[in-house]
Amino acid sequence: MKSIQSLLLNLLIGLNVFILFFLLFESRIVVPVAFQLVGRMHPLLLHFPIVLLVLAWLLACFGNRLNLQQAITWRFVHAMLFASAWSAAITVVAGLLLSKEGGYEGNGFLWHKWMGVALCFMVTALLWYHWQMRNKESKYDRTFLAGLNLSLVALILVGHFGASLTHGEDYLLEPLRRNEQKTLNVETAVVFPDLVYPILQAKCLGCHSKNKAKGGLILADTSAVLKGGENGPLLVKGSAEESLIIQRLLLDLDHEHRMPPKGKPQLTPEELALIKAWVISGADFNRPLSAMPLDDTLYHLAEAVYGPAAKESYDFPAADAKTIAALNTPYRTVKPLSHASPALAVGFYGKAFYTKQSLQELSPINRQIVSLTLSGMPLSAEDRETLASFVNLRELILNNTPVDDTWGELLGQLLKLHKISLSSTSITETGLTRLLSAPDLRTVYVWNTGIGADVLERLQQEHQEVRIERGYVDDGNVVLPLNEPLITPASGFFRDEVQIALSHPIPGVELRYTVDGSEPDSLHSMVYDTPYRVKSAVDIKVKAYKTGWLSSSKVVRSFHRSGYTPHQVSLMDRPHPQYRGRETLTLFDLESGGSNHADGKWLGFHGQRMGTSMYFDTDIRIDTVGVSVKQDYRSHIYPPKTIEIWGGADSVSARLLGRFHPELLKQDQVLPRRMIHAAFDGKTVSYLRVTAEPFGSIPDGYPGGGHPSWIFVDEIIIH
Amino acid sequence: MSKVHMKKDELIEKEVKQARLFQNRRQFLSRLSIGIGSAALGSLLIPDLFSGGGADKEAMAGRLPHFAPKAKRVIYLFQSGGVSQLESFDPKPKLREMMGQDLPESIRGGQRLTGMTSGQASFPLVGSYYDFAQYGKSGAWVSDLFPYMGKVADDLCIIRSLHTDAINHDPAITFFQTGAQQGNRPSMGAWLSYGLGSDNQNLPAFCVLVSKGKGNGQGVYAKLWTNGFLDSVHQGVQFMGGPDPVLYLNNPPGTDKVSRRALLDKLAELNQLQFDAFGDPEISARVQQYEMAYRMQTSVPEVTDLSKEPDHIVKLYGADCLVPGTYAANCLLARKLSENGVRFVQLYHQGWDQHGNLPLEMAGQAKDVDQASAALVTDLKQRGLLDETLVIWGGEFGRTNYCQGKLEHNNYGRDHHPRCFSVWMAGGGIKPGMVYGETDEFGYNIVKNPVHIHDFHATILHQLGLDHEKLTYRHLGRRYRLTDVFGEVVKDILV
Repeated sequence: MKSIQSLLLNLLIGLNVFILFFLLFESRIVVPVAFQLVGRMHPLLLHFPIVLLVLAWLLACFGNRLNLQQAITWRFVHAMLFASAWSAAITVVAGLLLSKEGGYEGNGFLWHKWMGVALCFMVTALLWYHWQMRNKESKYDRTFLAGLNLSLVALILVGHFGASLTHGEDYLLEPLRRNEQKTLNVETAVVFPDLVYPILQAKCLGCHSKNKAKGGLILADTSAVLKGGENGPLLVKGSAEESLIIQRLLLDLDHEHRMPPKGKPQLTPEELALIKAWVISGADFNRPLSAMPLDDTLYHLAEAVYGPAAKESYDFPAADAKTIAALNTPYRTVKPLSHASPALAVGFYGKAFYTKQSLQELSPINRQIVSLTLSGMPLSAEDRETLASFVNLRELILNNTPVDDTWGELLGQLLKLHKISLSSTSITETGLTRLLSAPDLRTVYVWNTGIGADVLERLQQEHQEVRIERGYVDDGNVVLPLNEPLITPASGFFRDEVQIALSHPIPGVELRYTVDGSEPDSLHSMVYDTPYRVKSAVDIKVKAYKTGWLSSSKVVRSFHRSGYTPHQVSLMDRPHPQYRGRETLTLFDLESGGSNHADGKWLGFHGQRMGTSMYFDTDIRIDTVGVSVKQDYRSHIYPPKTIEIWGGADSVSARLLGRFHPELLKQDQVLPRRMIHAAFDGKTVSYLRVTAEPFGSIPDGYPGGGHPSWIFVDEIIIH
Repeated sequence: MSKVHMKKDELIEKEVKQARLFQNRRQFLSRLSIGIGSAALGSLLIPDLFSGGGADKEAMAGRLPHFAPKAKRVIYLFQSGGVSQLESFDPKPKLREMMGQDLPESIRGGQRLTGMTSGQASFPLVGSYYDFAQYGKSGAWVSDLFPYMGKVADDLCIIRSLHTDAINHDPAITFFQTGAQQGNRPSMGAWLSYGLGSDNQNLPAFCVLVSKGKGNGQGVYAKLWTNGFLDSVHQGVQFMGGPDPVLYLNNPPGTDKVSRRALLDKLAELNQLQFDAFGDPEISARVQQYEMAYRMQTSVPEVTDLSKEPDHIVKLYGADCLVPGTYAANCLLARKLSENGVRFVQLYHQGWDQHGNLPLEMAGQAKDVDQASAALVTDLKQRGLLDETLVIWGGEFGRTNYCQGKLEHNNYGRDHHPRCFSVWMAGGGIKPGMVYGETDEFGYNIVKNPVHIHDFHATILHQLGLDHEKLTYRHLGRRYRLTDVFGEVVKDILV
């Protein structure tokens, strides 16, 4: 006997260690399915420690009043404690296993769990302490009784938190509050009895019942509500302001006629808004919620008061994890909707890898698939048959597939189907009509299918319960401008000849251009066909045209031919350190600077002269020198005030060939870049010097007036 | 005699003591063994106890939502620089009335300022240059700069009460992306890739598209789409506008598909040898990455080819959608990527930092994004994808209600403002046609339903079926979350 008791004691300690271990490594523990059975016995087991501990407490506290000998009391109490410690430990283990199944969280749960564990350890400790007192003749000491009392308090709390978990937070006090919480089925709910009346029942009927009828008002049934009280009818249909009920509800809380009066339970803002919305909507007593427009306030309010509609539950078992894993390929993803959900979502990707077997291979899990995406896949008639076996499909996306009317009937037979997308398929009215017979269908997407607007309008009228999404239709009324054409090459400088190509990102665009300086138009200008070569300077102006679109803005590009490249170039003045480009290379690299003057293709000078010396191996005959500059007045980038060209046999003998003052254009005429030509009548030189002087002070009336200007140069051209 | 007797007593006592000691020791040991036994029993419940790794590995293996998600994918249209809420979604007529008057100190309430306006002698209030109109059944107010967004207002949930901790671009955008102002934490897309994995094994789970407007721009760097301490497979992959959308994806010149395949097969064999010898999981991860890159050689050209888009789609997004690298083109590409199962598509459009010249610059920026952003919502909707795709539009903070620099009747600037700004969300189980949150009549402080960035993150994760408190990763001895130790799901805006 004793050895059994000792064994049990040892096992009890083992169990407690196990609990400790479990708690320490909780996050890493995975409970095998069989153990879940033990977990689920928690609600049964928990009753044992409750009863046993209460018995132990009763005996320990009141045993002597029954004139029991201490030794006998001790034995009884010990037996009770022993049994309660054991049952508590088993209950805790079961509870921990149960909690691993998931779905338990929140403060209530944490309290229940940790107090439960604490209670288990506490009772075991009490048992040990009690054992130490086995030979004492005197009554229990204060320590033991205090421990026992504490355990009892813990027991009550654990029990309470546990009950709250099982039955809900408000379970205990619910009868006192009379606050009925019920779920709302949006499809079957009727506005007055399901939404409005429960509020009246909870907050008004206390005083306006058949038994009480304050103010002569009874709210017990529909006819009574309609009748009103001493002060007249309650409702003016459609007008919240004129309805007595709303008036009274909105009065100041201290007002004599305020309802509910001060001190009584008040309506929540949502409840008040709900009643108001009902009155405004016509105070109809029989109107179902589903007859209201989907975006109606009542929907949102109903949700606010009753919480969102119940979550979807599935009535099929989960598929084997190994089967699921085996069906996953790089081109087919099969995944449960969420952790521990039996429902599967499947997506297909990579058109080229889709075969006739791709869908068929999913047969082992055809019951579990609730969501399927086949967009863009080359589906066949066999796939149609396969799809028929996916009886639990809720969502099906078939955009851009060869689905046609032959699929309509099959899809109509998918009883659980909520949502189907058939955008960019060949489905027509016939197929869509068949499909619409699917009983649970809520949304159909038929954008870009060629079903006429009038047909869709009619079908939508006939099937109010289904939302038919048509999407964006280009009715030809929206006319947008085309974007600018592209001219290649990007650079406007060339040596001997250049191949010019025009393009536009939008297919089917007509590009019309001019090279004679005239403005391009859609009638007279040349139509661009293939790239062409030019050998002399040219200004190209292009616009894009397409029916259904506005023409693009004009794009202008000047191409300049560069005749000579000096053999040696030196900069006489340092450019601004931030805009040094590639130093002297910049000026003869045949590359245009971009719209950003910090792109490394511009040389920038701030309030300071730019001077360049150029040396040629042989004598050259020059007619023109061109300086390509940037203009951006808002950034204080102006053309040079003065350009001087010096030339001769060498730098010493160079003479001034010409001084030019480029015209300062008005701000609204300014193009972002400009070629300034300096022309002579045939000078022979082997040394050339070009200097450009910015404005020391920008003229008044221009942005930055009074400040020194910038000059930016990207190329010099010599002919 | 007595001596002997005593000795005997002592001996007996000693014996008893010894026996008791022995007994105690035996009992102690036996109890200890039971304890150890229990622990051993418990350890059987830990499947990966001896295989290394831990809780994080377990979390990785599942890669499933914690609960059934509303949204499967996210497209985040990030407006980098800080869009002014006062010229977009939060009209404040009071500011027009009080044009030029100083911002009351009571409203500013000690808000710290950036170095750009902290030296200003006064803070003259400035009303929106642009008018607002109400759109749709929801009657949401949208400024005249965004007429296309106005047209889809009934699909949007405009949140006017976002607020952040940062006042400068880099910390603010980093905060938005990673949940922390300092760098090196994983970006939101990386967290989602880690938490949910990829739906399409032929494309990265996290794709990044960058475009640039003409307005004052701020840097957008790769650190914003970093994987942080997560595995590098979760890093965002940038798609470029040029002929080579994903860098280093094409075979080098002279290598054809067949020899590439042969090379990969041989390499995989070698890697397998190494794996057999060392068992480092990074080796097999590397092999998988090679395989994915190989598959991307087919999938990327397919998905980035915009030339087959029909004319009415081009019209929907605007003509720029066929110009690679533009915001419109990126929106269209985002739709295609998302349609192909990419978990998180992150767009950035730069140029929203209007410290000066706001009316003109913002008009240009709005023109860049308005039509295409609205088009993306419409396009997803007509394909039946909007309800499972969460689209988000917004910047890293708002702009001040007072003018930065010189206030002219048709020209002004606004500095950074962290206390309130507007973003919108669409689809993905967010209530459509809703305006959430409220700011005071000065557009400076939030008076109703504030949404902190942590709350915003928690809400996004929630829509994807993830509990933001459970999506953790152990690093440097502690667990990290996208939401740090904060964040409440904004239940009010959920369907």
